[in-house]
Amino acid sequence: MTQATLSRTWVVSLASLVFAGGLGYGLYTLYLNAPGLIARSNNAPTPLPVRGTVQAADGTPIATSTGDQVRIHPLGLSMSQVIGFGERANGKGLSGLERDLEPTLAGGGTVRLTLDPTVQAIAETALWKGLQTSGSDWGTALVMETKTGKLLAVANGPAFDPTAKRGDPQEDLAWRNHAFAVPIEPGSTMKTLTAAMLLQENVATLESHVDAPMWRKVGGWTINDVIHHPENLTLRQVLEYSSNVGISRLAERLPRDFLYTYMKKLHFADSRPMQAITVAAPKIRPLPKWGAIEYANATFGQGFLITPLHLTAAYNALANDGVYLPPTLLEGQTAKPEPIFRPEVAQAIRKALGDGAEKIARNAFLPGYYVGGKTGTAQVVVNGRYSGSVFSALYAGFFPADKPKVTVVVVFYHPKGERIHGAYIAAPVFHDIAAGLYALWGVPPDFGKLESHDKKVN
Amino acid sequence: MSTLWRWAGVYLLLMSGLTAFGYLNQRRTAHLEDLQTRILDLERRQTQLTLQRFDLLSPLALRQWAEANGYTPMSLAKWERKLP
Repeated sequence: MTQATLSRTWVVSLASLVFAGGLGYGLYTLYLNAPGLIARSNNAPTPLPVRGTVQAADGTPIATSTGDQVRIHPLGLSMSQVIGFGERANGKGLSGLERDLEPTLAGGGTVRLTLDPTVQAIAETALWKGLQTSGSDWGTALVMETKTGKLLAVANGPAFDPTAKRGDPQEDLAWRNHAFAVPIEPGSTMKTLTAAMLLQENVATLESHVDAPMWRKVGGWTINDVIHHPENLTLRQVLEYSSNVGISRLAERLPRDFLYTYMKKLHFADSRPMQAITVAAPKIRPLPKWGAIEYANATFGQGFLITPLHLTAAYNALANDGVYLPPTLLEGQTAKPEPIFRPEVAQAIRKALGDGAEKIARNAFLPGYYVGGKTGTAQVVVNGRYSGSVFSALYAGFFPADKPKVTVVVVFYHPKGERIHGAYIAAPVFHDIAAGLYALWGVPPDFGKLESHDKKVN
Repeated sequence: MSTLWRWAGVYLLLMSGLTAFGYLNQRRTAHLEDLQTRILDLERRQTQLTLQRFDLLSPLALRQWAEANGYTPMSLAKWERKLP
C-alpha cells in the first residue's frame, strides 16, 4: 500500500514537472514571437525619419523620399541643379539645397521654395533651346519677382538627371547650379547700373553728351567699342550702342570711390546675398588697388566677378523703383528693402531701356509688349589672361518695362561660332521667357500702347 | 488513478489551448507580414504612378508636348493690327 502511494506521488510530480516545463516553453515561445506583447523588450533599431520633402511654391514635390528612403524627383529634370543631390546610400546632401538644408531635411522637415514650376519650365525650355543653338558650355536664367525679391525660376543647362549615373563632377558640370556657384564678369549689363549712378548723383542725364571715339587709351591700355556709332553720343545712345568709351568717359564725372560704394550697396561684394543658401563669393579688388584702367573697366562690367544671382538682384533694384531687395528662395523669408536709387532715376533708366529695346537687342524685342533690358558680352579670364575665344554672353532686363513684374537675367558661358554676343545668344532666350510669361499671365499684345511709346521716343 | 487522469485531462486541455493560441499567433504574424509586403508594394506603385503622372503632366512635359504639337503661346500668336 505504502509502495503504491509513493509510486503515484512520483508519477504525479513528474507529470506536473513536464506539464510546467511544456507550459513554460510554450509561453516563452509565444513571448518571443508575438508581435503585440507589451512586455516584450524592443531591441530593433529605431527607424530613421523619412528624409524631408522640398516643395515648389505651389506645393508640388520637387524632391521627396519614399518609405524605404529612396529619393525621388517628380519634376524630373526641372530645378534639379538647384535641389542638388545626396549620397545614394543614406541621402546625406552633397550639393545644392540637399546640402544647404541638410539639418532640416535629415530631420524629416518639409521646405517650401519660392520657385514656380510653370515659370521654371518656361525658363528651362527657353534656356535649353538657346544652349543647343549656341553650343555654349553652360547657361543659366533667373526670374525674380520684382516687388518681393522671390526667385520664381532658377534654370540651368545642360539639363541634369539626378537619378542617372553620375560622371566626374570636375568634368561634367551639368550638376552645378551655375546661377549661384559661378562668378562671372557682367560685361555691358553693368552700363545700365553705371548710368543709374550717374543720374542718381546728378552728374548726367540721359541726354548728356560725351565724346566717344571708337577707342581710347587709359593707363596704357586700349578700350575699344564694338558697334560703330557717331563720335558724339548721349548717355541714352551710350546704352543703345553699348559704348565702353562713352560710359567710361561719363563715369569719370563721379569720384572714384562712388562707383565702388554703389557696387557695395548693390551687394556686389556680398558673399551671402541670400539667407541660408550657399552662393559663390564675388571677386572685387579693394578700392586702394583700383587704378585708372580698373575704374574704367568696372564701369562696363569687366575686372570684377559676381554671380548671375548678384546681377539679377541688382537689376531688380532698377525694376523695383530703386529699392534693392535681397533675393529669397525659401518661402517665409522676409527681405529688408534697401533704397539705392531715387524712383525717378530707376524709372528713367527703365524707360530708356524699354524705348530702346529694339535698338539694344532686336532679338529680345517682343512686338506688342513693353520689355526692357541690356545686353552684355564679357571676355573671360583663362589661365590668368583675357581669352580671345572664350566669352560669356548676357542679357539682363525686366518686363513690363514701365511697371515691371519680373526681372530676368540670362547668361551663357563660352558660346561657339561667329555670333557670340549677348544680343545674339542671350537676348533670344529673354524673348522666349517674356513670351512665355506674358502668355501665362494672359496679357495680349498691345500695339496701340507700343505706338504711343514709339511716338514719345520720336 | 482518477487523480492522474484528471491531471492528464487538464494538461491536454491546456496544451491544446496553448497550441491553438500559438497557431493563431503564427497566423496573425503571417497576416501582418502579408499586409506589410502589400503596403510596401502599394507604396512603390504609388511612387511609380506619381512619377508617371508628373512625367506626363508636369509644366515642363506639357510645354514640350505643346511645342511638339505646334501650339504657339498667345504672346507669339499672330494678331491683327488695327488700321488707322
